[in-house]
Amino acid sequence: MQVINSFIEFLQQMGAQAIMPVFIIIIGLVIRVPLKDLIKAALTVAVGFIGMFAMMGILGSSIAPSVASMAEKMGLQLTALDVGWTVPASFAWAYYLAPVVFLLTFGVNIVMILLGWTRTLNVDVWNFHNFMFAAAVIDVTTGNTVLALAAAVITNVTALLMADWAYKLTEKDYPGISFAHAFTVYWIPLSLLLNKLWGIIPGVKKVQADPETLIKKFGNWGDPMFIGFILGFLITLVAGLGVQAAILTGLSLAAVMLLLPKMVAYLMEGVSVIATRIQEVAEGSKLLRGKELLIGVDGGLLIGRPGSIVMGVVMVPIVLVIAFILPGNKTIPMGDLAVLYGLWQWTVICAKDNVFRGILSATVISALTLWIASDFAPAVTLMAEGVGYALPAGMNQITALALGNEIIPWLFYRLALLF
Amino acid sequence: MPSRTIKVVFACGAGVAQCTAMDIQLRKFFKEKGWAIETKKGNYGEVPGTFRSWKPDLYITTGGTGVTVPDSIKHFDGLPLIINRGKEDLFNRIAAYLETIE
Repeated sequence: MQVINSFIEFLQQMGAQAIMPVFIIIIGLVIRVPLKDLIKAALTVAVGFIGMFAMMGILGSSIAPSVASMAEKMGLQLTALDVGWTVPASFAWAYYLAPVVFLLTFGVNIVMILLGWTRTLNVDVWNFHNFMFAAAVIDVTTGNTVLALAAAVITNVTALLMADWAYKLTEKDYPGISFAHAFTVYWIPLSLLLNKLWGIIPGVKKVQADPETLIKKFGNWGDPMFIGFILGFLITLVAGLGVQAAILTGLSLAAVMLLLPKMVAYLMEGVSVIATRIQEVAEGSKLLRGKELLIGVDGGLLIGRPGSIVMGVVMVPIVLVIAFILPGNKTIPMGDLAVLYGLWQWTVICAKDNVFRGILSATVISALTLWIASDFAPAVTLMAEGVGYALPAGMNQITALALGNEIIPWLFYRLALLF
Repeated sequence: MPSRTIKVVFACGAGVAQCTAMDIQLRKFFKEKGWAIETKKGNYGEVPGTFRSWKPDLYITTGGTGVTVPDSIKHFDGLPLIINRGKEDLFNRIAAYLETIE
């Protein structure tokens, strides 16, 4: 045990760019991926992390001082920077429990299928970061590894059950596919409930909006570069740092919003060797042969619908306004503003593609999301330290708006904090 | 067989996970065929700009198109590349289309 601890400590001192490649090799060897492929994957992951950290450095030096200055001027408590979902996801993959969580949750999925408890085979390996995140936040805040692994398993189990249950909503358009995507599925019951509510309110219940027309109007405003530039410019201007600084900050944030996901794509590319092998293993397994399975995939698959895109674009200013006026909110939305249509696309689906109702539901859910994301900020900041990453100067706390969708890990987190 | 490099844009929710998965699968197919490919990945907000500035041949997404696609760009649903079902059929359709643009 001491050898393992020393090894983990050795890796942690080098940082996430060294930890995750090792984990990729460990997991890969267990599921028998050829070593040559693993080494390339490990190096790709390291490159992705180094690129991601470079972007975080730019984020820290450009926007963080403007946010702090603006918050002070306006008397706001916006202390947690939304760095976008890709950052905590990457940290989760580099957390020392990641290989254990990966094998454990995949094993639980197989057992659940064999016992007839789920029809979903979750092959969306990259998104196992949700289960790794659940374990990591509990572990960094409590030091209780058993509770941390329990949080990961329960998150996994509930995501699978939600995927089975929600299949009826998407079966017509996506037969044979379910969405065991812990990032997005947990708000489905509330979205359905809210849709029922909008259906009984006079004046609201008859409103319809045509997504095809709206998307032509809003099109480009969902571009992360535009969002980054406008946001960086306005925040710096409000902070009173001058037009020149505002332009430069806008440009820096535009670069970060565009390039950060590209860096994370390299991480994903590294993980893909694991994903491909897992899919081969599962589909070739004698145990699963003959079973009518649903293939569990990323909820992002649902986003190509015009209604979701419109909702995501319209929600950008709404979320910003809510962030500024919501009591108790500490999150300054930023990194995830470009992917709001992915976070809350179920609001539109549950409203049967009625964009107006989808936006109303997303507005309610965005407030809850901001609270949860704010609540997670101290744990995510600790998690960053846990993978050997020091926040750039000027950054106080980090979080991601998308983490506000992680209801099950959050419930565990709140429960753990009670004891 | 295409005589020039085929430019492909992938789009998905964040321009990260599914785009990369589809990219890897399509690159493998192109490599097997000995065809040249150049790709870009992005979210749905980014792709209209990429259409204008980069002028790709193919646009591959998960699910719907997400945005208005110019007539010069052929859209394919890349779902089979993610779920590993119907992949061969998709490759055949892409190959057949590429024959027509030369």
